[in-house]
Amino acid sequence: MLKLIGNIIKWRELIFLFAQRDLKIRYRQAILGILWVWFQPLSQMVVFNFIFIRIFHRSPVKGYPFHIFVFTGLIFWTYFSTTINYTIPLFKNNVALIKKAYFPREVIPLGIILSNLLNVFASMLLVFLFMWTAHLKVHLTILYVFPLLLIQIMLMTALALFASGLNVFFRDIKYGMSLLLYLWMFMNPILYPAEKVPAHLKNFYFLNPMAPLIDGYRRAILEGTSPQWKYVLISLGISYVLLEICYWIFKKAERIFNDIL
Amino acid sequence: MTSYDYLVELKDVKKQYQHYFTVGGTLLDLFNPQRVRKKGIWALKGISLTLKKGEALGIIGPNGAGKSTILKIISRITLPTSGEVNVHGKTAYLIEVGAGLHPDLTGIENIFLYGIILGMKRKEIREKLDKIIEFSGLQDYIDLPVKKYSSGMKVRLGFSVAIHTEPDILLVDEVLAVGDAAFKKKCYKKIEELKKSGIGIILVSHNMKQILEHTDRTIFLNKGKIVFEGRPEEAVKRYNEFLEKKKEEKI
Repeated sequence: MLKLIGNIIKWRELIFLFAQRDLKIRYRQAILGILWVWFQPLSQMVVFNFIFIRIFHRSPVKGYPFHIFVFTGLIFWTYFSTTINYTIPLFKNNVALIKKAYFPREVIPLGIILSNLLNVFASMLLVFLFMWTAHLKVHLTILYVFPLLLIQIMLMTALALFASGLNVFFRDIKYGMSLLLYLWMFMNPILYPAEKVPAHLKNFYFLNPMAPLIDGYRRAILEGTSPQWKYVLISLGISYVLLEICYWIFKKAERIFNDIL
Repeated sequence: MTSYDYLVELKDVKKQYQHYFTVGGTLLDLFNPQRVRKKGIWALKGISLTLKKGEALGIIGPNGAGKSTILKIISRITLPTSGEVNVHGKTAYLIEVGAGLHPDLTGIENIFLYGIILGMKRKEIREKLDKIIEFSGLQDYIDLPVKKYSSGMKVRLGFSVAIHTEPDILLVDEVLAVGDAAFKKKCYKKIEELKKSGIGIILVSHNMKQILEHTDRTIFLNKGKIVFEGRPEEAVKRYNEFLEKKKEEKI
């Protein structure tokens, strides 16, 4: 972990550059550019809203419209899942760079995590717009989003390093990962509030390190309350341990990347 | 600059390329021990060499002799299986055309990307940008995406960035085979200049004329072992004899 932080500081310019390069390449030839960032969670929001409001005729949340509820959860989940999916083939796509010079390889996925973070902030603008149309106030608790995001980034770094590193050796990682991420989404309070989870399952449910974060974002942004710190702390612990393990594995794998790619 | 006797010192370096699970392998390979245990290829079978400041070392030999592997080990791109590697100073490694340049980014953007990968700071690149562009002679094309460049133009860009990183050790792998005569001349002039300023250079080439003209000492490498090390003339002579013999054997 200390080594990772050291490398981040030492190679920050390269991380920024990878992030910048990623944004440029992704949006240079896309006519709609940044609109694509909004489109993904928006389209999902429309579909989920249709299912719950038009088909079930029942919103699982009280106090504010369902679409705002879904959208807020979705943007953080989208950040999580698309970033990890995106990082999986990263080393294969950057073989030329890797063969050119030595730099700690983790800076490539870190650059992607950083560039996608920008998408979260772009999507937040839409959240504010929705809140404004629904006459919801922005509370000071919104600042809690930052520590929660930090935990999420730790967790994402762990999984991105694990998946991208192993993908060098095994191509089927990406199939496993996309199935995992698809199922994982439903185990988060995105389509329903965490309160709906039966009390006796709650401790188990919140072992999923993303669950207290998604729950916390919504409390902080929409409800003006603080996250459930107990579960957030557990999430922090799990994310930290995962990061240590995954980074260790990654560093082992990194030594032989070049002989394989 | 460093205060060591040698910029580069390899002691009995061996390198075996493992087969591992080849690219495109699947998790099923974990249960296929045959594929895993397959013996790897020994690319280097005990190499010892040194490079002093201001020295140009040539490496010649047939394909698969391990020339590029030596450069990769010095630049830390790959790790040796056994042996000792001491490198004192910053290395810049120049390999095949356009490697490391991103086709969708412009010339300038690639200068920044490549420069930072080679260990420069953004500020440093900004200060040297004009010089880098000028040396490359690509002023008119620098805002175009690199995919529109010819192979010669890519080499110019890569070489120009690499020498401006102020490396202590410059590793050149065949790269100057492309590019027009005028630019080649310019590069070799620059290499001589860098040598005088104390930089160590390792030149891998199939062009014997370049080896004779620009190296002080040359290693003839075959099948991962040093066959001869010494005066370039002698090395080239032995290498030519080796090639002749091989030709005769074939006939």
